[in-house]
Amino acid sequence: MSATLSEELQTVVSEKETMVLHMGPQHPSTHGVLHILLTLDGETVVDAEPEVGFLHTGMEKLFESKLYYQGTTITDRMDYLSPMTNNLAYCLAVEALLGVEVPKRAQYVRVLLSELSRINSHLVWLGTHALDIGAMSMLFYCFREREMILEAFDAVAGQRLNPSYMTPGGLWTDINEDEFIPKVRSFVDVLPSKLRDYHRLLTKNPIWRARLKGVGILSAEQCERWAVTGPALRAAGVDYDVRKKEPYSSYGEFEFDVPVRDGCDCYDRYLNRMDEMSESLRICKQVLDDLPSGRWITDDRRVALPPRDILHTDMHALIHHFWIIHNGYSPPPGQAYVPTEGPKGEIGFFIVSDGSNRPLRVRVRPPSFIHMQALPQAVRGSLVADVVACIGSLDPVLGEVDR
Amino acid sequence: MRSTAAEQATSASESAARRLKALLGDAVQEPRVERDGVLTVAVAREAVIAVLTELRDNPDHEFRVLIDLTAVDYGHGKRTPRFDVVYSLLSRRDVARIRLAVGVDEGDEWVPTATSVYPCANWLEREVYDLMGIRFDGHPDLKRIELPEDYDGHPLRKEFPLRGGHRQVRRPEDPEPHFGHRFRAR
Repeated sequence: MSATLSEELQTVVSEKETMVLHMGPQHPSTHGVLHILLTLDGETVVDAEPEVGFLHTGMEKLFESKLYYQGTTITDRMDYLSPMTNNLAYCLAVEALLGVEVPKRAQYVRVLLSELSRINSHLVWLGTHALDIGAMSMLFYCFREREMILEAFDAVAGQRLNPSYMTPGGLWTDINEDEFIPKVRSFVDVLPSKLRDYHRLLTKNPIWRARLKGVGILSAEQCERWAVTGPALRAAGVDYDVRKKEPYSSYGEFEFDVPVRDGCDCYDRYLNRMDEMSESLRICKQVLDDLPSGRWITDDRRVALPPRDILHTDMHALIHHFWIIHNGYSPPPGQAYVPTEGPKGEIGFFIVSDGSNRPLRVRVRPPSFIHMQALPQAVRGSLVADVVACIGSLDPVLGEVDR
Repeated sequence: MRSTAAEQATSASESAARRLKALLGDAVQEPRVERDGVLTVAVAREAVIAVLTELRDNPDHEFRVLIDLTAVDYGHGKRTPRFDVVYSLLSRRDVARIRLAVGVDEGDEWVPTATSVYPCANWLEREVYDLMGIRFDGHPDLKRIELPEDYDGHPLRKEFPLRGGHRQVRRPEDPEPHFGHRFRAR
């Protein structure tokens, strides 16, 4: 045996060995098929490398083979927990390209549906995030409340999860006031007491606070470098909400506050989203109280279908209807990106038109994808359990991450 | 349809265009306000890092956030240059947005990486490389992100069929699917 240590022994002695652990892609706490390669020193995370793409379905390519009004059905499937906010972002971009005005009634209903989608998304976030942390009952409570929103979506659009209810120019059809409005009103009446229950269960709970306080720090400067938006940005002290700063679809006419905190940690993100649900309820009440009458879609006949009741008797209406459904409409060449505030962060569709009836390029700006890139910054130096808390608090939806 | 805040944003963008022209001259071409009210300028590949750095650091502009980085394929033979790499920047302080379009020729598909200016460009550039095949010179880890690392082809390119490259999807011995003709892209 030589007088010096062999190479392998020297490595073990001089360097700490780190362990590489696969978290996912099949994992109950990654909120979907997310793969994270964790480099661990004991229980401490030295590095985390997320690997995405397991749910990639080529949605951006699909848009290019569809007419503009058909694209809305694809948008539901991206952030599938908040379908109407995606619908709205897409429709706003197409309307910017077309240059059509959306009537007030449609704008107000769009706001109502977007806020219901936001609450929908936040309820699932809360239920699954609490489930990951260990508070399992929360999942059942949140899904019980969410059921009321899904029934409301069913009443207005005929579908629970993928409504595709908006269309460029307005709404696909007028809301069914007899069924839809009472369902929304009863939900708006029920949720505040439930939110108080959730607060009582979690907000001052010592285990909840121990798991979330000081965990997953993303400072304002890091949020800027990594383009983090939404509740995570506002938990870092930056007061930027697209609904307030760059209002769209009549959001400027409603009174609501935007929660901003500066703890930069998972706990403040939790509080932000809880407050956002209350503010969304405020907006919903204002819409319900002030809902204007009128058209549900623009008057522009290049975009809006003729009224159904004359289709049986008017030949030209029939041809017009057939033409729009079969051939769509052709926005003039140009580009448009209209930013909107989705529940995850800023979402928008960058649409390039070449003057034909199908888009040349539709690019989704996916907040969840961009936040996954920021995940390693938030978890370096934490424990493995903190990675779970952090993923939950950044609230990714894999449909949007991978598209 | 555009609210006052958006109008303010447009005028902030237009004054940004004038200052940009004054500072950078020919590096910034064809400024136009697109249909969404956002100022869009064409930037030459050689100048893009300088322009991005200037827009980020100059206290007159403070476009400190890279909102999105993507690419557009106009199709083979449809336009020269064939591709545009599009950078969307946001100034939270001024609530202003600006878009840069860098033209990339077919056969010469590369652009310098923006990761030194905006770290979040890392994954966004990987996605453009993965789906469009445009390389980013100087990128720390340019590998595919959505598709498997051994995938062949760049699906968002116009010549890539909607149903997928058949080498990946079907084995040679699989019969030709009957519904093929119904899913033809335009």
